[in-house]
Amino acid sequence: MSRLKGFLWFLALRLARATATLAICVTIVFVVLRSAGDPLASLLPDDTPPDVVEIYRERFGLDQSIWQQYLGYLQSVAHGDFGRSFVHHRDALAVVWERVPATLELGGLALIAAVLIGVPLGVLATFGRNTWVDRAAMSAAVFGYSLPNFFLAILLILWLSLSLRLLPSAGSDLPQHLIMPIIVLGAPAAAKIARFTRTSMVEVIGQPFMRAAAAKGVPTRPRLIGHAFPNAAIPVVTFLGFEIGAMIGGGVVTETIFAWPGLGRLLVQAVGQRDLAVVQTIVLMIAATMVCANLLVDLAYGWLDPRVRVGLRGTGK
Amino acid sequence: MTLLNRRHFMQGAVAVPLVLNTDFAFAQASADKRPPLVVAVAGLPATLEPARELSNVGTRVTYSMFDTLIRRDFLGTPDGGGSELKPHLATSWERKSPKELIVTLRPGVKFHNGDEMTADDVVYTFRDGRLRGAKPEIPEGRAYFGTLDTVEAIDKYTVRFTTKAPDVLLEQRLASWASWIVNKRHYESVGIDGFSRAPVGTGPYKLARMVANDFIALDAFDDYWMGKPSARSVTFRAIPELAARVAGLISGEYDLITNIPPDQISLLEGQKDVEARSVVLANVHLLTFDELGPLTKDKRIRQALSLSIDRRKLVDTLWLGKAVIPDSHNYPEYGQMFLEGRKIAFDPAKARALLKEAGYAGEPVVYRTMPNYYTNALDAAQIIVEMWKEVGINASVQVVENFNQMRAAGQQVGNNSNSTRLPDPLGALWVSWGPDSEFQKKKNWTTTTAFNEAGRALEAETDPAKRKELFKTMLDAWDDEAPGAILYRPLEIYGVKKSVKWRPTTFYFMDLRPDNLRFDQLP
Repeated sequence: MSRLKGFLWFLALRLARATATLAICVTIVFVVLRSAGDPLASLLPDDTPPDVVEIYRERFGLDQSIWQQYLGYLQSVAHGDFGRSFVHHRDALAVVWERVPATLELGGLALIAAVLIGVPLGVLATFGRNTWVDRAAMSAAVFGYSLPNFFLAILLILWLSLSLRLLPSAGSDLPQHLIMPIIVLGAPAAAKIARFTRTSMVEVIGQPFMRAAAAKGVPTRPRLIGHAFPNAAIPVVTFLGFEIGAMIGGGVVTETIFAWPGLGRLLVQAVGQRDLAVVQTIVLMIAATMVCANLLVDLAYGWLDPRVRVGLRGTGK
Repeated sequence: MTLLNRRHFMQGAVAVPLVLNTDFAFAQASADKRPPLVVAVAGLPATLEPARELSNVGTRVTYSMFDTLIRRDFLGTPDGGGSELKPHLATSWERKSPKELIVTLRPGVKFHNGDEMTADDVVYTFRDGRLRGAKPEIPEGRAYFGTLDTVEAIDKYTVRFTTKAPDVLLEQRLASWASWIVNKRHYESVGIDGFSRAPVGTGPYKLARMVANDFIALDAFDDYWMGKPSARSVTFRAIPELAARVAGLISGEYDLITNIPPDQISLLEGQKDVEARSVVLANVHLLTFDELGPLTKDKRIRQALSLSIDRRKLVDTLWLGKAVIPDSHNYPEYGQMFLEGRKIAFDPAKARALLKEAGYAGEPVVYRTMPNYYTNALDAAQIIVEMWKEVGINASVQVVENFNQMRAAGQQVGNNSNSTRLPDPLGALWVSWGPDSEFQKKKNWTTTTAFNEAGRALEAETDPAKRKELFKTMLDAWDDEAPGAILYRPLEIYGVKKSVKWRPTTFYFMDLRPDNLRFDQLP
């Protein structure tokens, strides 16, 4: 019973923290977007007559004081109403929600690709520590991490689409449209995962239990895979939690260049057009994703490391 | 057990490019032999309510889905800026008085939903509350139809338009981009927001599918009254990145791409199957001089700023010599209203004299501009500032993010563009700089007595000779007070497959009607 109570406290604290984080995010975005100037100046063409501007100002509720707008917005969000898009003339949540599958598809595949490449690369580097294998793997990782995504994206378009005519340049209607965005989005993530995996593995290898396993006569490969890797996985999992958010944030450039109809591209357009309700909804969604990802990471610790479970049990006593 | 050996692997690897590059559309091949047209654009309209999307992005698409009563014949002149009016959904129109126009409709015109277009649809399109009235559904409509008093159906194919005051431009308004005829029955059943996503017009292409900010797919409407469309479908695909649009055109994914900057022309011209097609837009880029700002409140300083700009050098440097320096706010498409012989002066000596007369002593002049809002804006600003330094003006560039920052207190020089909405001073200069404009409302330009008197007289005048004289007075007043300085009419550049026979117009319409789109047979 006390164990359950402890878990509920843990969960309640986490949820309270998550709610506070989301409220702070909404407030910051609300203030920043409005302090950047009159949204109608970005929304309407440069030669729109002032009387037309005033009709829109009243229609969008922008004639109210900033406090009235803010309190009204908080009240609406609490009721599940995220406002109406100035540009699309419909619910902001519906506009944003339409883009979620595309972002999840691209971000999810890029993350899977990053894990499938990054983890083996890191393990490989550990196997061949301080040899040419290690150096080659880590050089590839540094290269993948330091190449700016917009540069890599344009390079791939020029090479694979224009010169070799192997892949379509941009769009989303064919499966092969996914290949270049996955490479651009996944390369830096794979590089980071490889470096994390290697560092973590090297650290674990020096632990006493690894020496004990070696003394017991466990061969190198099972020792690294069976003993070292599960222990080295914890920092990598933490990192993956952050990377889920980065996939959405990093998608801003990738989705725009490859015309991928996801949240990142919508965010760029909505910020440019000062479509306030849409920007706020996306930021709220990204913040919620980060909060949930961190929660999942915390729970995954318990699954990966029995000591965390013991610790949790201990707090309940 | 079959193992993947090296030979199988290599065979597979060779096949990959072929599979990946296969046009999957073959699966949808139909008996329709007309080719599809794929247009890659920088952005798509958020809705398809045609009067709501009065922008270059919106009207490119809606022009193919809707028709106006009267059609402005842009392609009637070689420059793509013709202003002659031709029958379209209306077969004829007749002026009963300066305030009354009777329009006779073309019988047998079908909407995409099968309804016949009648006077009821026309009356519904121009009803009070949609494009006109105190707070209409589409406020932008007031700039075009604020003058309308009543619109009534006389019979099934005849409509009477009356205006509150004599309006010589009513026919041009009916040919403008706010005047697309909508289907009354469908509009009433789905409302403005439903219509915005599932519109029904009479145009050559009808909506097949729209995915916001991704693509808009149109199918040929074979019952189109001008004849069968030349393409079996038109897809507008949003490709914001220029490199991706250009790569897609060259590799054959797209037939036509938009928003090409001048420095890409040579790249396209070097290709075998594609070319650049450009048109000088019915729009001018200009500088604005704020009377509320320090220094620029003095007319002589404003005149000196304008006189010291070498526009030819700007055009040659930034636009490969292809942009046009207009004769003030005065364009050939005005027809008989066009004033011959006017030129914008470049006279550094006179500029220096005016500065001396104004007692200018090297006070700073700041030119605020956004970096990318207007093509070449930042490059132009840097060059202009150097030209000003040549005549002794202590000028600098300040990059701002938006118009709010540009127009914030302390503004001296900013920039803007003025479009020719209707081929007449009342549809251009008067809209951009008249009493209802932002510049006059916000007191950025107050020395307006002569300009406003002539403009108001022009609104009420119907005699062509007197109208021309009043226009001259307006233009003289604007040039003398110099609340701004015109730079040039910019280019709009398209990249097009050579096999696609299509001409651009000076406005942002993308005319894909059967008389302006055909495909050469592939060899």
